[in-house]
Order: sequence, then structure tokens, then C-alpha cells
Amino acid sequence: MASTNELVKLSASQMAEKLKSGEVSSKELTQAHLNVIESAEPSIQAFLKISGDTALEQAEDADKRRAAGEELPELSGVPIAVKDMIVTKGIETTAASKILEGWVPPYDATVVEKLKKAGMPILGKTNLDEFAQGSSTEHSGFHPTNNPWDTSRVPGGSGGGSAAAVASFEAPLALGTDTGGSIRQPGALTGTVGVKPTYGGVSRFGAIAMASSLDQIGPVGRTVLDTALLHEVIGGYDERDSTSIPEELPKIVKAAREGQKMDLKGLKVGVVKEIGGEGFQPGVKARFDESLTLLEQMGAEIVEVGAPHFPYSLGAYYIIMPSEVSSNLARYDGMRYGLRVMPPEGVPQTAANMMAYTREAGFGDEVKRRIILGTYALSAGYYDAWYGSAQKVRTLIIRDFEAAFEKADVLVSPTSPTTAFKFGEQIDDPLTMYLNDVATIPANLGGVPAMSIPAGLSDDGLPVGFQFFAPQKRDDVMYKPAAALEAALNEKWQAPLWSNLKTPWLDSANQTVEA
Amino acid sequence: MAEKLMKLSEAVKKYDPVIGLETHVELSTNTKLFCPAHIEFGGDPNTQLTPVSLGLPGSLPVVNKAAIDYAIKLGLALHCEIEEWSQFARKNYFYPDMPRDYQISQYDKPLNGNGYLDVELDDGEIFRVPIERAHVEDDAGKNTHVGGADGRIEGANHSLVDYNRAGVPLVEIVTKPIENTGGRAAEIAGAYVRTIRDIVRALNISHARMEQGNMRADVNVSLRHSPNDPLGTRSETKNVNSFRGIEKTVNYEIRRQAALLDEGGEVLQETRHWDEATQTTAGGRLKTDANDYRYFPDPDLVMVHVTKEHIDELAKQMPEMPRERRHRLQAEWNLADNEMRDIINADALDLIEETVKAGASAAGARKWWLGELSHEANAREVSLEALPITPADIADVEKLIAAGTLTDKLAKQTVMGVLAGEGTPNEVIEKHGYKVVKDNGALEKAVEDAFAANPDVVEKLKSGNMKPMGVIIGAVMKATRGQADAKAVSKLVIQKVKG
Amino acid sequence: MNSSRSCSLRGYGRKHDVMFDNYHEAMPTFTREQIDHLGDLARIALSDDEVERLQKELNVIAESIQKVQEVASEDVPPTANPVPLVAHLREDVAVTPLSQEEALAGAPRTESGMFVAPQILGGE
Repeated sequence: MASTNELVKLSASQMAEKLKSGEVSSKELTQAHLNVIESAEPSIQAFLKISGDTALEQAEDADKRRAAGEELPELSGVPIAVKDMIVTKGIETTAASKILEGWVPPYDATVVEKLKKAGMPILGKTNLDEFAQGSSTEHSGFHPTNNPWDTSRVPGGSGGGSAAAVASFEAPLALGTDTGGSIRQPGALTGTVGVKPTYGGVSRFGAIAMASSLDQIGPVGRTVLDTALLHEVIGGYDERDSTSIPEELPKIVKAAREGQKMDLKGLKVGVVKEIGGEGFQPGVKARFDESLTLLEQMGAEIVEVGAPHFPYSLGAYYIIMPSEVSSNLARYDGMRYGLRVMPPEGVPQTAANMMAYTREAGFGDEVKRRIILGTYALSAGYYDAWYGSAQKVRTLIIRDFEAAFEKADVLVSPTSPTTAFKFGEQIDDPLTMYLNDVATIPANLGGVPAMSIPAGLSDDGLPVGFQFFAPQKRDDVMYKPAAALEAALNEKWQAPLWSNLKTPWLDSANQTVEA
Repeated sequence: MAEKLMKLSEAVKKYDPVIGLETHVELSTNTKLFCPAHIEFGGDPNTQLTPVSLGLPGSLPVVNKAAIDYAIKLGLALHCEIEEWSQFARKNYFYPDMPRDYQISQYDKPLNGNGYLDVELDDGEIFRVPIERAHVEDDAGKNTHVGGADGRIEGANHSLVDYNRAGVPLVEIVTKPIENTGGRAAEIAGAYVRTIRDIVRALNISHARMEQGNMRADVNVSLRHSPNDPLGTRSETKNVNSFRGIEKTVNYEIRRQAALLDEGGEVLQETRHWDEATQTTAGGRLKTDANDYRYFPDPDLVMVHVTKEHIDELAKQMPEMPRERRHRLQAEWNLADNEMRDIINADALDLIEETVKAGASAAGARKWWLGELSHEANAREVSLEALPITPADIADVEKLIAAGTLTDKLAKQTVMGVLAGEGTPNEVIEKHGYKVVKDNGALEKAVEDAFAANPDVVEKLKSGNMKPMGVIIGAVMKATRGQADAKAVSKLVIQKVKG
Repeated sequence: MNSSRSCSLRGYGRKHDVMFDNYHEAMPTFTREQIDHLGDLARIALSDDEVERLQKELNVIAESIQKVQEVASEDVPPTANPVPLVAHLREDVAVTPLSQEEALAGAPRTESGMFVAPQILGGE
């Protein structure tokens, strides 16, 4: 016998153990999460679509496969939430945009196929900034998502829905997409773990494109080991994505388990000089420094590394990203799927005008801003100065990473300059909003893996994130110190960070679940 | 509002025309350029799509190896430099038939660059056309315009879009400015595109049927006073889809621009369209997005790499090229230059070769395709190969003539039956009972009947006046419903008269 | 491998009609007309208010991202794709396509198995 509250507060790997021992069935586990979703959603609003019925069917199927003695991956039967930027066959997929409202994909993303194959029930589709463009989830075309730590504050973005769902125990795991920090920054702001894998490490087939050369699907969880387990489920080569790396994934789970032993002797940790300083809250800095001390206490050697071109990364990002956005979002034209708006009376009722009025009505302000900026950056006469220069900066960032990884095995920085901010605080100031991603963007430009783990609470009682970077294709290298730091922090606090979270919604959801 | 035209002979005397051609060739791969959707001409609309070719959110392109290999073969045939590293870029513009609202094409790093094509003209002269590049790109879907006259875009109320063609691989062959054409610009343009058609067929990389849109050309024409002057402003006539149309476009544009320049006017750099109905080009209607296509390397596709070894391997597989083939066949068939040229101009070389391969004599095959069948194709306004009859059918008919089973007249009727959709030659023959009456008894009876009915004629014949023999033969033919062999009948008549 | 990482950008952005004539490595300033034109290119029927707001915002954003040019010198090759890869070339083998019903399922308007576009050319 276990209560809903006890069940949902377990880590995914603990749930997996209980499923394996038969202590709980996937159906019970899935139902428990659906119960939490039902009671939490009014205050959290992490989901755009809840697919309870199919989740329960998938759970029953997972139970049957287990009963039949099928060899199953560790996470089989553990339910998961999927960011609504990833297409799911038969489940409405909108990218949180009015322009795609009602679209039901006829195919599954590669990662969704992998979840199904692994027997992981899909609870629903989580909220985001429209087309993953934003850092607060306030730009969702449908509704904002509230931060479980303080519902008057944003959960970060664009993957605020996935992060909030995992933080509030609505789901043990979630999938996100990270173009400039959309997995890691919400992770930092909600006290969860978020990983952006090496570019090309996880197939993008079926991830709705925002900026193709930066986008990457990654795992969201409450523990480092949980994200490692999920990373191994979704990762690996996919012939349907030309940017997918045709190599074996490194041993990620093994590295995370290794890290739990809290022994980092011989590991060189490089502190990136250029990330931090001005604009970073004192509480964020304090938690970062404490974590560095813990890493050192476990035997790691802390060195300072320079990345002289990182200060140019925000500028390069805000050229490359909108350029690719302007092209990737051209297909939403009212012809084949989604919204169609005919021009008002008096305007010629042509196909071109239909497209223009459809896009005017269907896209939100932030998306339009980026499309216009990107259209400009690619336009005749400006290409060399803008897009061309940004691609050169990208080369310099890659070189910075290469040089830094000669001095250190992993690099570290705070994930986000601030803790969660209040709704509306930055929405009218795009430039300030863009600065949220200053620490996360270099990893996307450089194609390197990076992850954020909770590093404690700031003076305002809100979570702070600690970021690790590893070299391309060496995602395993960051999982080890991340798992070690997590273990050391838990030991220091005598409990995980989430034990500080007030969860009134769990009280009403609490029911006894028969084993 | 007919535009003023100068006489062609005068125009080319006064001005030096420079042409350029951008020829699009659809490759006959099994699947599309960027996704594994099967390609088939004439399928139900929107049934040859994957999420990729429909441009669904989240879908990603993956390059088809066969398309790259086909394009390399074409590059080799065009004496191009084959680049080991090439790159796909996005050409951004909105149009209802484009599923992603950008075309994936090659821009600054095309697969094939810098080649040439030797074109044989009517008088046997070889003209070298310089090639700038031959790059790979994907095709758009097809619009059907509803509510206007003749399915035209003008005046249409709305359009229906079938995306089956979207994603079909194309090679676009771009010439450098073709200079020094003298008065033969149109002839060179036509011969050039025909030669490309022959090459892609020889390579077996395209169905290359103009009327199905497998091949189409954009025709650029500009004039200047003297070959020493810089190039003049050009017009670009888009999507011309017949050889004759290409030739006529060149001549029309030379005449139009000459008249314009002569009056002190200026040629506009514009996109024009060849109108088959009026035999003119018309300009200025379809406004493109101010030509700002915002090209950038497609971030969904990394660079394409082909090794030197692979290119060499493909080079070894190259078949005989059309010009060599023409010379060989002309010798084999023992034809004079002008006879061969008639075959080429009628686009009948492949058909005749196949007919010969199927067992007909070269002379017989040539006679059918250039005679009766050309006539029929003209009447129907279709190409020879679009006629509903195969080279094998013609070979069968030829064999029956040689065996004496069919007379020339019956053979013609049989062919007409096949063209009318009545089935194979044998089915037509069976259906109508076309058979030469060889039964001597029946023939003799018919001759006797004719003799009996025409005593005065018999009289004359017996007296040595053979002129009215036709009367007897006619009567016999009538009696046998035309199935008697006229030669056999006259032989019999002579025997009887003399005997 | 290096040639696969660094893409050539030669020739991009050089097209016939250069619409903005105030570009000379200097700070771009967005005028209303330019925003209008960009709206046309991007097929978005921007309202007057939006054009005005975008003009202000983009000028601020442009100023801050302009500094990439400080370090983007001649000798630095551009990178299009952060992880150097060579394109995987797929075998020419067909898969089961979408059914016509699936293909049309999301369409705003269909007719006779096809997608309906409003008139492509405007009336006179």
C-alpha cells in the first residue's frame, strides 16, 4: 500500500524499482499522477493537453509486457509529460500557438516512438512560450504556467510547462527542447534538473523546428540519475535527422551512478570567467560558490578558464536564431493545417493576403518580432554583416570551448542570472528578457552538452540553478560531477531541495492506491 | 495590345542576341529528393506524401543517394567539375504550392560547376554551349486553377493544390551567356535542350517528357549592338515546356526587344511567360517577392560529400552519348544526312531504334514513324511517343507485312485500330477479320465472277489491252472486302487471260 | 573534416535588389517603410501599432547585437552546424505514404482531394 503522495514524490528510478518488484503497477502509478494533475492544474497550469485515457492504456500495455516477461528498459511503466513542441500521433500538438490550434499530427516524433517502445505512458502535452520563443512561458498562445514555488512568478521558459509539471509532482519526468536554454533555465527557476544533450545526440525528427542549428530535445527530471535514464531512452542515432550523430551514446547512466559515490578526485572543474558578475543576483552567486566548495571537497580541482568570445554569444544568438525562425515558421501559411484567416472586406481576397492575415492573427508578438528580425538579418545586402558575422562568432565560441576543455574536464557557471521573476515584470522589455539566457546560450551555439541542477534557494526563497558543460559527444562527463554535487547538497540539506516546496495541491490529490 | 515586332532577319542584322537557358530536369528516382515518398506520374492527388514532403511541423529532410548519383552522371555528361563538397540552401518565398514556403536548392556550392555541351546543328555544325552549373533542388506541387477560362491562373476564383510533385528531385542546368550565335540563337536553344533531353534519356535518369513537365526551361534573351558591347538587359521567359516553344520564345524576344530598342525604348528586366495560344510572350504579371530570396545554408542538412572514387566509379558506368549513338545508328541504318535529320527533328530516333530492336527493318520503322504516325500525332497535337501505340506494335505489323499476312492497306487499318484503342495489332486484326485472302480457290472464284460480270473488259484484255485490268481487280477487291493481295489478283487475271 | 564544419557563405545575401540603402557597416536604423517591407517579405499583415512598436524595439535589439561584427574578421570561417558531420545519403527505397485522408486532415479547406488556395492572382 502506498499513498498517491508517497508514490509521486519518489524519483523515477525509485518508481522503476517498485514497478520491477511488482509493488506498484504502471496503471496505478499513472493514475496517481493523473490524480495530481487534476488537483494541481488549477493552480499550476503546466499542461495544454492531458491524454489520460491513452496514458492509462499505455500503462496497462506496459504492465502486460512486464507480466509476459519481456525484457524492458529500466523506465518502462514510468509515466512522462511531453513538451507541446514535440509531435505526438493522435494527440493535438500546437507549439502553444493559435496558428496550430487543433492540429493532430499523423506521425510520432522519433523520441515519442522511443518512449512508446520503452513502455512509458504519455500523460499529456506541456505548455511553453509560443514556438519555444521566450524565457517565461508568458508567451504561450493559450495561458501562462505558474511556478510551483510561488504561483505569482514565472516558471522560466520556454519549457515552463515541463519544468513546472515535474517540480509539482504532476509527472516524474518530462521532455523539453532547448534552443537557447529552454530546458535549463526553467530547471533553474523551478528547482529541477534539465539537460541539453550534445547537438545531434537526440533526434530532432518530430521536434517542431524553432532554430534548427540550435534546437535539441532533452530530459527533465527531479534527479540527475532520472534524467540520465531518460537521456539513454531518447538518445542515439536516427537516420531521419541529417544532423543526428551516427555514433553510440556515451555511458550516461553509468556516469551518473559513478557520481553518486561523491568521489571527484582527478576531475578538473573550470569556472567560466565570462559568465557571472554584473547582472547576476547575489543569492545566485552565493549558491554557486557554495557548490564550488562542495565540488572541491569531493576532490575536484577548481580552475578558472577564459572564454573571451562568450560575451558575443547573445548577439550571435539573436541573429542566427531569428534567421532560422523566420524560415522555419514560413510553413504556417493557412494552406495545409492550422489556422486560416481571410483578409477583411476591402482587401483583395488573394492567397498572399490570406497568408498575411493568417500569420498576423495566428502568431503572438514575440514570434512576430523574431520573424521580422530574422527576415531582416537574411535579407539582401545585410547577410554578410549579420548572418555571416554571427556564424563566424559561432566558430569563435566553438574554439573557446575547445580551448577551455583543454584546461578543464567540465565547465561550470550559474544557469540563470536571477531566480524566478514575477509575471509581467519583463514582458514589455525584450532585451531584458533575452538576458535570461546569457549563461545558457553558449552551449547551443557550441553544440556542447550542458545541464542545470538545483543548487539551493536564494535569499528570496526561490531555487537557484548550477550549470555544467561538457565537450561535444561527451555528455557522460558532466553527469558524474552533477550527480556528485546533487548527492553532496542533499547530504548537506539532509533532504532534496523539493522538501522545501509547499504542495497544497497534493493534499486534495492524496488517496490510497492499492498495490 | 500586340507588341511591335521587328523582322527577325533585320533584328539579327542590327543587334547581337545573347541567350541563356535554365533547364529543369525531373529525375526519375523511385522516391523524392528529401523523403522516401514514392513518385508516380498521374496518381490520385495528395497520395504521394510523407510528413516531410507535406512540410508538416517537425519533419526533416534527408538526401536521397540516387538523386545525387543521377545528378553526378548528368554533370559528367555535361563535362562539369563535380564538387566533392556541396551544400543545400534555402530559397525563401511564399507560394501555395510550396509545402515549407522555402525551396531547398543549391546556391553557392552546387554539385556540378563549369562545364560545356557540344550541340549539333542542322547543317552538322557543332556549337559549344558553356555551362555555368548543374545543381540539385526539389520541385513544388501543382496548382489547378478553378473558375477562370481554360484553367488559367488569370481570372481564377481559387486554386486546388496537389503536393504529389512537391519534393521530386530536379537538376537545374544553367548555361553561361551563350554568345556568337549569329542568326541561329533559336536553333541553338532548341538543339541544346533536345540534346539535354537525349542525354538524360541515355543516362536513364529522367523520363524527360516535356508534355508531362519532366523538363522545362527558362529562356533568357538580351540584345546588344555589337559583340564587343557589354550584355544588354535580359528578359526571362519562365517554364517553357516544348522545344518549339523554346525556339519561338527566343525568336519572339529577339524581335520584340529589337523593335523596342529601335524606338529608343528600354528592355525591362522582367519575368515573362510563353503563351502557346497567342504565340507571344507576356510580361509583368507574376510579381515575385522583389527577388529577395534570403538564401542561407539549410541548417537541417549538413554538407554532402562524394568521394573522388565514387565519382570515378560513376564515370565508368556512363553509357554511349547521344551524338555518338546518332552517328552509329545512321551508319547501321544506312541513311543519308537529311534522312537522319528528319528523324531527329521528328523526335523519332528512340522510337525507331526500339522498333528496329523489336524486329522491324530500319526502312519500315522509319516509314511508319515519319509517315502515318507523324501525321496522326500532328492531327492530335501530341508528341509521337504520346501516341497510344508502341514500337513493338509497329514491329509486329511490319512482320505481318513481310510474311504477306497483311497488305499495306490492311496494315494501315490495323495501326489505326491500335491508335483508336481497339487493342494490340493482333486483337485489331482478329476483331475486324483483317487477313489477306490467300486461298486460291476463293480468289479464283472471285476473278471468275468478275470476268462473268464484265465480258467487254475481258474482251479488251484478251486483245492485249491491259489498261482496264483495274476494273477486274477492283471488283475482286470489293468481293473480298479488300483482303485480297492485289499482286496475287493481277497475276491470276493475267494467267486467265493468257491461258 | 574541417571543410564539413565550415560552410561557405560566399555569395549569400547578394541579390539584385538591395532595398535598404543605408547599409555601410554602420548601425542599421529601422524605418517604418523597412518594417512594412519586412512584413511583406515575411507575409505578416502587421498593424500600424505593431509597425511602430517593432521599429522601436528592433532598433534597440539591433544596437545590442551589432557588436558581433567587432570580432567577425575576414580570417574566421563561418560555422553553420556546430557538430561537424557529413550528410547521410538515404537509399532510394519508398515507405508507406500518408493516406490522402491523413494528408488533408488538418487542412482549413479541401476540394476533390486537394488543398484549396484562394485566388493566386488578384482581380483587376
